[in-house]
Amino acid sequence: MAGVEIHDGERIAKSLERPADFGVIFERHFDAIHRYVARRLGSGAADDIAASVFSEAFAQRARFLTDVGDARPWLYGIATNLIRRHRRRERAAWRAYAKHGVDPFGIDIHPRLDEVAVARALGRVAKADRDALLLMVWADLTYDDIATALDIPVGTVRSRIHRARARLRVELENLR
Amino acid sequence: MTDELETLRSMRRAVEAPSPAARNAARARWDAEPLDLVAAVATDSPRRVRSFTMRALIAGTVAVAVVAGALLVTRARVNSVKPSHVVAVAPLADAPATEPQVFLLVGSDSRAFVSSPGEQQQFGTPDAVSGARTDTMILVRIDPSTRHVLMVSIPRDLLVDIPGCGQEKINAAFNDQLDCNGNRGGVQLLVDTITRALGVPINHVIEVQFPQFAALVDHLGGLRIRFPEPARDTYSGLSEPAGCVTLTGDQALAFVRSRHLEWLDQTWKEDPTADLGRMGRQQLALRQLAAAAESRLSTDPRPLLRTLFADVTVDSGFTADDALRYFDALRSYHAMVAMTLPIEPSGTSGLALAPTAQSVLDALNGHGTISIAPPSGTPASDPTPVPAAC
Repeated sequence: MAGVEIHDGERIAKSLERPADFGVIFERHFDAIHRYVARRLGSGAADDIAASVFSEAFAQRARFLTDVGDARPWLYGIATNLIRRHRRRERAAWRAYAKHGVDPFGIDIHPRLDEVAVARALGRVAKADRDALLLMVWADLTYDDIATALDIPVGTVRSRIHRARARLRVELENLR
Repeated sequence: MTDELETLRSMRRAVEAPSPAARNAARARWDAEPLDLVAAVATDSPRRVRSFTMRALIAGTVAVAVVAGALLVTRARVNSVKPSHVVAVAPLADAPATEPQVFLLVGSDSRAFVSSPGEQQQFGTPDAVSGARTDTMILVRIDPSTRHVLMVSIPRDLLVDIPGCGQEKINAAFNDQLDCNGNRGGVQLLVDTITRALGVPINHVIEVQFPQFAALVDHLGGLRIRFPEPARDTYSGLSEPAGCVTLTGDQALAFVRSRHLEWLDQTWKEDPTADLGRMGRQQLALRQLAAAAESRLSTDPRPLLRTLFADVTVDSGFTADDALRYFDALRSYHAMVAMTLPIEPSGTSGLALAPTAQSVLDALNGHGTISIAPPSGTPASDPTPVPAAC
């Protein structure tokens, strides 16, 4: 984070006494969480899921460690759990995307050929691998952050992302 | 060349920011006090909001300067740090510091600071680029009791009546070459013009020049911006890759000054939004810096305070006592709304206030809530990329 310190933990601790302080956490991260969910499940679902992420985070805020500067891994972890409930829908969407070349979520009306191929691959990547990969590329989390978010060891993050990337590469290779 | 991660990343480019309505609904799930300001903007459609709200600013300084002012008297007892440039602007609207305040933030292009050869090369000499103009005028309303912050960018091409001059672009009022029947351009004339033309009384003025902005950004550890595609501006000297980038002070200055932004999408394509886009990017920068300042201030505020108050120019009524009141409002603001004053074309190169502007001006005066008409016309099928927070 290059010198810019984030004191989410401190802010969340204060919000236990003064709930309004949680607004800072919300303002800071809501857009990013919403975008991430929107890319995975469409804007409509994102409105509800992103809202649930923060109401759940608010309810659980006493469990967030005060000395943790950045709340993002925690928030993305909650988001990932909520997204999992829509797993079947997401998978079907990626397959439809690949088949018809049209973004099923209506996010991008002019997808590129290589994006369609990647969508096909996403529909085939194992769910746990997909969660790890997308947290890296769409949420800009580091390996350590992903490990925190998914509550798994960093080595496992590495191997999951490695597997997911290999699958993507195969699909892109087939395209050539 | 394109690897699989790049392809995957590119799939994010068209993801829209959440609509204000969705944000507000999400907030209401845990926040007992709904926010009028946000609720009002939420009546708008997402696309329109983005162009108007396109987040906030050039002198990320208001938040910071005000906060820093507050610190003069509080925590660190750094009473010895005082603003070194005070401009006599009078009479400014007088309001007790517990009341909402409107600040005018002016970004000045004065080259008076230029001394070293490096600066000469970067900005030009005071002889080559004489006088002072502004392309950045932002009204910031801070309400210490509700902790609402409203930032409104004033387009430089807005045609208004400048006292003594008649119809001119609003930024002419700041130009020190201007002489309107004895009314010289400068901060005072700009304040008078805005007060009369927009009907918004101004309580305090903060004038920021290029190097001060850059120093501020450096002091805050950089400006974090996410570029959806590689971006450049050969006029302002911006050149950044796609993705999350921490801009240095000089790079951040090139970012907020940029009016000829180009995006790399196979070839370089100029961003058509020009000044409108620039205001949005300035609003984004201000938001980001306010967030960074907030976390910085919980550590040791003194170096930041010195940076800020060493160089910015403020009105003589800007006292540390007053500023103390705004400290809490900014430190844990409830809602920050940043937008550009709604405008429509007027004449060949000018702009006039759109009918919806009145609700924004009213909100700056503390009356009513902002309402903006739904967009007319069809949205562009190929939206221009917009930088974002990261």
